[in-house]
Formats: sequence, C-alpha cells, structure tokens
Amino acid sequence: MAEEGSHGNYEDLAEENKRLREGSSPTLAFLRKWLFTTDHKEVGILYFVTSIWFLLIGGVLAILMRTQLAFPAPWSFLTGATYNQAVSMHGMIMVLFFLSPLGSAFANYFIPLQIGAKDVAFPRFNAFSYWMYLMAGLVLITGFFVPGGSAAAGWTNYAPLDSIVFLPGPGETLAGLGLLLFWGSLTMGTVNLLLTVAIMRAPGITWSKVPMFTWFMVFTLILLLYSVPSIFVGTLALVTDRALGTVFFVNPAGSSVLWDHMWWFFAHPEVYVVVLPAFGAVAEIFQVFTGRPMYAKKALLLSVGLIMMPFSFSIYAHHMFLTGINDIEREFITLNTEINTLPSGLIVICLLLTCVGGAVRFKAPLLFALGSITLFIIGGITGVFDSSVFLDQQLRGTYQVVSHFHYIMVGAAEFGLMGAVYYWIPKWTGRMYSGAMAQVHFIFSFVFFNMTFLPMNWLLDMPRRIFTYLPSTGWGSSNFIETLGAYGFGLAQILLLYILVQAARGKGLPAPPNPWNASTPEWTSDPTSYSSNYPAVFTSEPPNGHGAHLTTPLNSRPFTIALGVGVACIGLVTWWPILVAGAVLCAYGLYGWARDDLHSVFGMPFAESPGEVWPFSPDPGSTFGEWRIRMGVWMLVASDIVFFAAIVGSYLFIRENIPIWPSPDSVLDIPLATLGILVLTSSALTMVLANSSLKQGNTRSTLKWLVATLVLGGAFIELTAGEWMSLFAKEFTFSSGLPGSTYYFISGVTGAHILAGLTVLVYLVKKTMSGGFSSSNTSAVRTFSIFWGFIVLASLALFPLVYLM
Amino acid sequence: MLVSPLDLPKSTSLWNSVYDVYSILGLAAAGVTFAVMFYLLFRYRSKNGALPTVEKQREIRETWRGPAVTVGLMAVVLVFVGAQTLMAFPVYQTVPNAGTSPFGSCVVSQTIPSLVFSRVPNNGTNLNICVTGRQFFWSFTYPNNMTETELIVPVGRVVVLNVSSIDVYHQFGIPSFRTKTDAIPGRHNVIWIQPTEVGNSTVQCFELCGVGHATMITTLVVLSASDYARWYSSVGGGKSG
Repeated sequence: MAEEGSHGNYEDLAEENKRLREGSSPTLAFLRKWLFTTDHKEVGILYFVTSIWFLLIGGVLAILMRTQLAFPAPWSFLTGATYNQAVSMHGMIMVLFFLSPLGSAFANYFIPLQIGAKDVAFPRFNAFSYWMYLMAGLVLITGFFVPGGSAAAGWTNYAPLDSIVFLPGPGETLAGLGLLLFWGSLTMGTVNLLLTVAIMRAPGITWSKVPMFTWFMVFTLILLLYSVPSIFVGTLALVTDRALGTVFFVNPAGSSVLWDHMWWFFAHPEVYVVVLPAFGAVAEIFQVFTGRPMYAKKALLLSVGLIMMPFSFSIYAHHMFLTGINDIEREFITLNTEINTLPSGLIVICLLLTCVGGAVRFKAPLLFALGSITLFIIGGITGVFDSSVFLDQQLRGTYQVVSHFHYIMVGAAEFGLMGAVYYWIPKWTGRMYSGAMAQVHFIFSFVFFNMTFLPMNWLLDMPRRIFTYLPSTGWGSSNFIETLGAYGFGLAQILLLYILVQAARGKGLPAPPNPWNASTPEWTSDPTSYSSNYPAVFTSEPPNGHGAHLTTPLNSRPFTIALGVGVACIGLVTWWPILVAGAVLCAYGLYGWARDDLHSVFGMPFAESPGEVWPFSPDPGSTFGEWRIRMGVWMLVASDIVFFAAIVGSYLFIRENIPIWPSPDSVLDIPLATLGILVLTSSALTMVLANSSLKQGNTRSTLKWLVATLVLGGAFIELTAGEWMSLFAKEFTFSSGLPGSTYYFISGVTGAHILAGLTVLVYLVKKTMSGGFSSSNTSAVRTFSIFWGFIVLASLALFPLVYLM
Repeated sequence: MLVSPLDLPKSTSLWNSVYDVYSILGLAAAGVTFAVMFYLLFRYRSKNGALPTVEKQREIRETWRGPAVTVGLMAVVLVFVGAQTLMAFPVYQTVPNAGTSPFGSCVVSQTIPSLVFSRVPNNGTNLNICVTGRQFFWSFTYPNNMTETELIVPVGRVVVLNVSSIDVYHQFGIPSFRTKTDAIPGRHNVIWIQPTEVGNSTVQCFELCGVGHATMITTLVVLSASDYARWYSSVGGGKSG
C-alpha cells in the first residue's frame, strides 16, 4: 500500500537516489541500479534482456530437436526421454518466457511515454512482476538439473501424464511452481499496466488520441486479466496433486478433460496475448514508414475489442475437438472460430490500405512488419483448416498444426516484435544500427523460416512430438530440409545479437530524437537522458513541479521478495533448508516493504488533479494516489472473481462426472463450519463499523473495530485449522479421493486469501495506532474493505458447495 | 496418399475433397491478398526516401465501407467453407447400417456416461472392436474377447472402434482413413472405418504420452472376408495380406 510521499521528503529521496545510482564503486552502483530499479524504462529493459536470453535457450532446444528429427530411425541424437523434455521446455520457454515478456518489455517502456504518464501506477509492483518472471523462468529451467530431467509432458502439460504417477521426478513439479510464479507476475503486471492506461493519461490524451501500440496492449491486458486466473487454479491444483497427493488430475472424473478446459481457457486467449502486442507495434511501424495515419482505425479497434476479445474465450474448445464433447457444440465452435478470423483479416487489410496515398520506405522495421503480415496471412489460412471440426479429425496432432502455430508465433508475433526492436532501439540507446545488416537479418530469417515450416504443411500423417520415425514413412526428406532451415534461421539470429550488443555498447552513429519521422509521444522525449519522461512538447509544467530530470526511486524489496520466493520453490523440491532460507528472505522483504510504507519511504509524486480518466471518475474524498490504489484493488478483485469462478466450475465439472460422493455431514463437521462462516461474516460487519468510525474521525473506535476484525478473521483461521486437524485425525486427508482434494483445495485457497487480508490488516492496525489515519485520510481502510468484503462474499458463496452439496 | 480415388474409403475421399476445397480457396485468398499487398507497396513506394505531404500525413481516415467490404468478402468465403464442414461432418458422426452386435470387454476404468457412444446404433452387421491405449502399445479386443496388438479386419465391413486408455492421454489415429480420436482414461470415444481394399496401413498414437510415444505404432491389416473368417475362428492365427 504505497502512500503518497510528502513532498518535503522527496527532495531528500531524489538526492539519495542520485547518490545510490552514482555511488562509490561503479560495480556496486551498476548492481544497485539494475537490481533495485523501479523505473518503468529500466524495468522494460530488464524484461527485454531476459526475454532475449530465454529466446536463446528455447532456440538451442529447437536446434537439438531438429537435429534429432533430421534423420529417421535408428538415428538417436536425443532419446525419447530427452526429446520430450526438449519439446516441452521449448514450448513453455518460447511462448511464456520469450514472446509474452518481449511484449511486456515494450509495454513497460512505452505505455507511460505514449500516454504522458510519469511511470506506471505501481512502480514497485512493476519491478516485482519482473523479478517474479525471472525467478519463474529460473525455477522452470532448474528442471534440467534435477534427477529425471525437466518437465516432459508437452508445453500443454496434459493430464494424467503430468501427474506424479507418470512423471515422478521433481522436474514437472518445478515447472508447475515456476508457472505459478509466472501467473502471479502476469496478474500483477496486468493490473498495473491496465490501470496506468485507464487513469494516468495526461490531459488531452483521450482514448481517441491513444496510440495504436497502447490500444493493442489494452486489449492484450484485458485478455490476460480474465484468462490467467483459470490456469492459475489449474496449475495450483497440479502442484497440490504432485506435492500434497490430491487427485484432481489422476482421478478420471477430473484428469484429462478437466485440465484441457482449464488449460485451453487460458492458452487460447494467450495466443492473442502473444500476437496483439506485435500487431500494435506493426501498426505503429506501418503508419510511420508509409507516412500515413491508420486506415479505418475505429473499425479496426472496434472489431478487435468487440469481436476478437470475447470470441477468443468462446472458441478454446477447438483444441478439444476429439475429446468427446458433443457434436452441436463442436459445430458451433467451428463457426465461432471462423468468425474470429474476421477481425484478423480486417487487421491485415487495414494495415495494407494504410499504404494508400503514402510513401513507403523499406527500412528494417517495415521489412519485419511486412514479414509479420505475410506470414500471418499464411498461418491464418492454415488455421482455418484446423478450425474445421471435420478436417481436424485428420489434422489434429499432426505437423500441419505445428506449421500453423509457428507461422503465427514466430511469423506473425516474433517478426512483428523484431520490427519493434529495430523501430525502438534508437530511442533506447540513442544510436542507429547498421540498416544493411538488419535487412540481411530479415532476408535470412524470412527465407529460412519458410524453409523450416512450409514443408510441414504436407506432413499430414506425421504425429507431433515424436522423437523418431521409420524410414519407410518417407518423411525423411521433408524433415532434413526443415532441419537445414532451422539451422539457417538460428544462425541468422546471430546478426540480431550482434546488432543488440553493439547498440548496448554505444556503437553506431548517434540517433536523432526522431529518426523515423514518427508522431507518437514517445519520440518527443530526449533519448540521451532517458531517465526523463517529460518531453519538450508537453506545454504544461510537469505536474510535480520538480523539474525534468527525475527517476522513480530505487527500492530493494521487490528483488528481495522475488528472490526469496524463487529460492523457496527450488528448496521445496530439492532440500528443505533451502526452502526455509527462501521463506526467511521473502518474509524479510515483505516486512521491509511494510515498514517502507509505514514510514512513507517510497513516494511517487502524482499530479493533484488527474488527467484523462474516462470512463472512471476520481473520488473527491481521496488523493489521486489513494484512488489509484483503490482502483487497483477493484481490478484485482475482478481477476479474483474469475479465479473463484474457475474453482466453482471445476468443482461442478468433477461432481457431474463422479456418481458417488459422500454426503458432507458424514465427513465434515457442519456445525463447526457454520460457526466459522458466521464468525467470518461478522468480521465483515466489524469492518463496516471500522470504516464509519474513521469517517467520523473517531480513531479510537476505528482501532477497536479493526482489531475486532483481526480477531474474528484470526478466529476463522483457527477454526479452519481445527477442522483440518480433526479431519486428519479421521484420516480424511489431501489424498482422500476427490472429496478430499476439493475440500482442502477450496478451504485452503479461501484461507490463504483471508490470511493475506489479515497480514494487511496488521499493517492497518499498526498504522492506526501510530495515528496514520484520520477522517480526511480514510482511503487505505476503505480500500482494504473492498478486498475483505469480496473474500467474505466468496467464502459465503463457496460454503454451500462444500458443506451442503 | 493412397492408390486410386475409386478405391478410397468414403471418409478418405470425402476428406480429400473438402481439404481440396479449403486449399483452393485458401490459396486464392492468399493470392489475392499478396497481389494487393505487392501492388500497394510498389505503387506507393517512396521516391528517394521522400515523405508524403503534410496533409497526407495528418489526414483522418475513418471509413466503414472498406472494412465492411473486407469483412463481407471474408464472410462469404468462410460461410462457404463452413458449410462444407457442416455438410461433411455427419460422416464421422453416424455409422452406416449400424446394428446390435456386441463389443468385447472394453476397458472401463470408471463408469462415465459417454455422449458419443450412445448415438451409435447397432444392427448386427458391424464389427465392434474395443481399442485400448496404454504406454506404449495399442490393444484391440474383439467381440469374442480375444485381444490382439494389430487391428485385423475384413474388407467391406463397417468396423466400429470404441477407444479408451488405461493410463495416460493417447490419441488413436488411422491416417489413411482420415480419422482419429482421443484415448482418454475413463472415457470412450467412438470412430468407425469401412475398408474398401485389402492391404495394410499405419495406426499410430498422435498425443504425447511418454518416452515411447514415437514407438506406439501398429498396423491395420485388411483381409478378404474369407481370410478374416479363417483368422477369427482360429485363435490369433492365419494372418495374410
């Protein structure tokens, strides 16, 4: 809960900041700057460098796979086991740890610049999101170094192969833990960036003035807000299966089809999450390098917002055509998937028609943008084949599908993001790269990409994820050519790395502030002093009145907490002392963050009156900083609603599939549970009383009611713990079939939410005791009530499901 | 992929023709779009890096006509191919001359109602075989409860395959018949084939199921009616063809 720092503090802070960044030893200063930064531009660069690093790892895995597939059996460069690890890790790393974060890199750097904001809404959470992403990736790839190897159930981690029965080693568990960290990172990042665009636009930046890249990022973020909670629940259930013995994905009443639903509800929108940032960049690039504004911008944005976004959630079951779902649904999904092609086609046509009346300059960014559109056309058309429930009966699980999604993921998304790199690198580094080398990079990448993936369209019989095939199949020549293409494509990326390294080292001609003659706001800020967000073009004074050269303060807590979490995850599957060390580090960081807030150490100066906030309106009773926090909590609650909906949906799915279920009163103590829920509900009442006391300025009364809420919430936790203990004594444990799994999961997740709330409540009590709140400073307490009210309501809603059904 | 169109099983020839329709329309769509793209890029290329006029750089270009035409043209194509799919789809759903002949002991790991199974009627002329996937081979259980690891069937009969798994998620596919289905523990998915020619073709697993996924291959052996009858009556002997 970052409170707005008092301005008197801020000058000292800026001085301290400067001292820490420039400091005594250059190494220490370098480390402090990059480990403790909360500035959106530096966080963006961290995302960028890390995503390229994961690209290299994923790329090496691809080369290993293609080397194995170049020749038929008995060629065995990789075994079945190592190939499965390679293919699974390649997919997860490329989609989740390379493509999506590369989009985040540009989003972090440019969204605030494009809308005239000082930084994102919550800079420390922004840094925390980055460190959690890095830790998530590191936890995932630790799998390569443990006995049994890494995850090996495909990037899709289908059940029950992903269960401890069939993949007993710690590698798959590490993947589950890494993914959980990553979903957490995504959730925080989503709320942060979405809120930034919603309420931190500078005066004059109405929605119609928001640039295309930011618009596409808004769509991406909304998709993430609603899709990630589903897989968060699924991954949590997978980890409890593997670590605690629940049976969600082992018992056939859940298992394969349950995972399919939870996974694809997320993973289908995820492919749009990957592609839309690339298209946002491509839209900017087309406008700049044709010299023309976007053609039919309103129609384009409406089609993406009103058709593509909702439809992407309704068509996920085209990945489940052969699971046995009913025929009418499948036909419906074919038609809906086809409808979702319409916005895609419109994007292509609008981009191309943008050229009309323009003067097309074929620089490297445009070449990659054109490559992206070209390959998207091919990939999109192959996708129409897969959308047909009839044709899919042959195409499912074959290399035709592999070709389709690589044309979209690499062709449309990666080429588009490469265009973004070449477009924006001069802004980041102040240097121009060699245009000729970039053009060569494009040509080689384009040619070798097609050489690798085009032949796959004719391998309609070849199954996916096989590590070898018989010579008699005749697939050898195709595969050999594809491998040569893969090697060529891989080698071509050396040019990209060379360009990036040279740019980072400051080589190359100095770039003018606006080398491409672009007109979006980020080009008007000064590249040589990239710590300043205030461009000369904004005529109004920077709102905080402190002058142009400010950086968001350094803060070590995000790094510390994330490091602790990452270490704890590794310790969880390797050696328990490491788990303890990680937990201690994490607790230390959390305590530090809370202390920082109690003493208002991290202060973000905000304008006294906000700029453009439509369709929201600020709260007259709070400062902008406080209102920002409240809006963030609302957004988090929106995401949490989907989280609980996924739990309810899964529970009902399981109940429908299992004929025998013990009646709750034969196992659970209903009277005790009823007492518990009554206690919890009364804590909502005491929270209401705390709020009204504070509004009247009666801090003693407020303290009394806050403490009462804490006590009642604590009592609920204790009653739940007692319930668990007595159930364990009756031998009803995590592994007591699906009744046990569902009971403990729901109870545990709800309890975890309440514990989190109680932790914040301790902070609020402490702050009230030291006089931090008054009748004119009620915001934190009111904001907390939103969360508390939500979790009490959710618990009430879940009560009948667990105890009465 | 196979010998002559006249000898192809119905599922295969229908699939091929729908695939061809999609391919022709897909190539045409791509061709038109690329032609538009190359034309525009050539026609509006910059002369010596010059920019367009300032008016052109600032012009607001809101229109609904162009998008409507684009979406309209796309919709026409998509409706057409969608109709092809919906018209062809019943071939996978209904079994010709279905009857009441029994299945052998299909593996049932849990009694979960299977929507697919209930709509396949039986009339006695079909050959109903239970297919069980396991790491890493397929097993086929015949009506007399005999289990084989190859799928041996007579030519011309409708063969109904009731597919499940006893361990992980597999996928049972017979590419030459353009059909496959998921083999999921606790569920039964039904597909059918009607061979038109004596001969062998590949049966393979299409879903990652563990280290032996690539080796989960077996053969569909189509025998003449008399050879099949001879084989069926002897316990697993006398295969030919």
